Amino acid sequence: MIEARELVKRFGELVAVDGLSFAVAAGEIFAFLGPNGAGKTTTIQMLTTLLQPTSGSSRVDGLDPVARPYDVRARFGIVFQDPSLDIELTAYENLELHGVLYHVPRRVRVDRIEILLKLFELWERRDAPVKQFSGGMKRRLEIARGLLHTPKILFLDEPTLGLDPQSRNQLWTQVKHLNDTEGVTVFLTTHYMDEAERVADRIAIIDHGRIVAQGSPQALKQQTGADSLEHAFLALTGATIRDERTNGAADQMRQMARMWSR
Amino acid sequence: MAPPTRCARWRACGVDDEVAVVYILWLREVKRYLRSRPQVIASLGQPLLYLVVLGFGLGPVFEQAGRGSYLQFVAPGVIGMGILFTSIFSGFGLLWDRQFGFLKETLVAPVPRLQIMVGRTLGGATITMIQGTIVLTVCHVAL
Repeated sequence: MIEARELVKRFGELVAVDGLSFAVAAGEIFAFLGPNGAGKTTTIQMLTTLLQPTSGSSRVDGLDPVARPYDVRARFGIVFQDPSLDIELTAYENLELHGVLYHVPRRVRVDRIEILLKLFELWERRDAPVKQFSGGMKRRLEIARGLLHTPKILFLDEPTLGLDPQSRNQLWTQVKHLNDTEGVTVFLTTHYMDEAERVADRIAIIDHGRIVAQGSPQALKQQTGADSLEHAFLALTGATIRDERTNGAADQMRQMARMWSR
Repeated sequence: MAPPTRCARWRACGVDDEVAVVYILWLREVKRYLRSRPQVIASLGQPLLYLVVLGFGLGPVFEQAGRGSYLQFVAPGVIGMGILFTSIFSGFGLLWDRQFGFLKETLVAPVPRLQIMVGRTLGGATITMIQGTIVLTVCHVAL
């Protein structure tokens, strides 16, 4: 469903992603773990047509994101690391806007919005502006939105960041449920090892833009002889603290320019 | 291999889909405008200030020095400035979207950037027209 071959992304001197190769099967929940600045978000941005790889290639549902960005975009849903809802609009309006942007026919859209809002327990609050929502509700709405156009793949970039344990638990239960019922392939990144262990079929640990290990949670624990995934993770990536490289304003402008020129 | 059309998941992509995209983005701009009372009031404040303070303050001086009504003289300029101000403000909306992340949602959508731009621009133009009409009405009443 997702395939990457020797993906490389350089930002000037910095090599953010350094020859990544992996494959995600259809219907699988695949977790991408790594310290800050390991290249997780950059990889997602390349797979989701927001960034062009420096070299290497990838396939999303058999299509090349570089050659056919529109076809690829119609096939995945994404929840970004940072919130991306219009907080002035209501929950319903946010979903409706998404549905129109993705050319979901009106009849399908109305039904689908109702199903998803009910599933994520937001139906009662559908006409409330999103700015009144709690962090957990916003996250759930974003996931509902990402699934509105029945994508084959759902990208979740640290979806549980800043949520309380109840919201996290509920969120993963719902994601797992959708994976079971709709067969949507999930590609996620997180910093919480217990979550990855709980939901992921397969895990890849990446550091410095390279995959250091991949396999099922059990396999990773066995491989390192650690008793928990957290220890396995630390054994593989070391215990030193990483500082994410903050992009200067000029870098950000250049990145925006690239995004707009696509 | 999947078919090459953009909306192949549902049916072939037609002109009505493109119009719908432009329309929904237009609608969003207009809704946001109508819901933010502070913006409506604040953007009316400036032209009103010019009309009231300059109109009634400098008006008598102008009328003594030359001929005709000072309000009639400044009103077109005030309306023009109001329109310019609102246009700039709706352009800033793009920066807000970037800051609050909504921009990304439109950037990963399977629609050409041109449609996004047209929708937003039409929305901004509509808001500006509403705003201009309000100021025009106020001027008309004041005259």
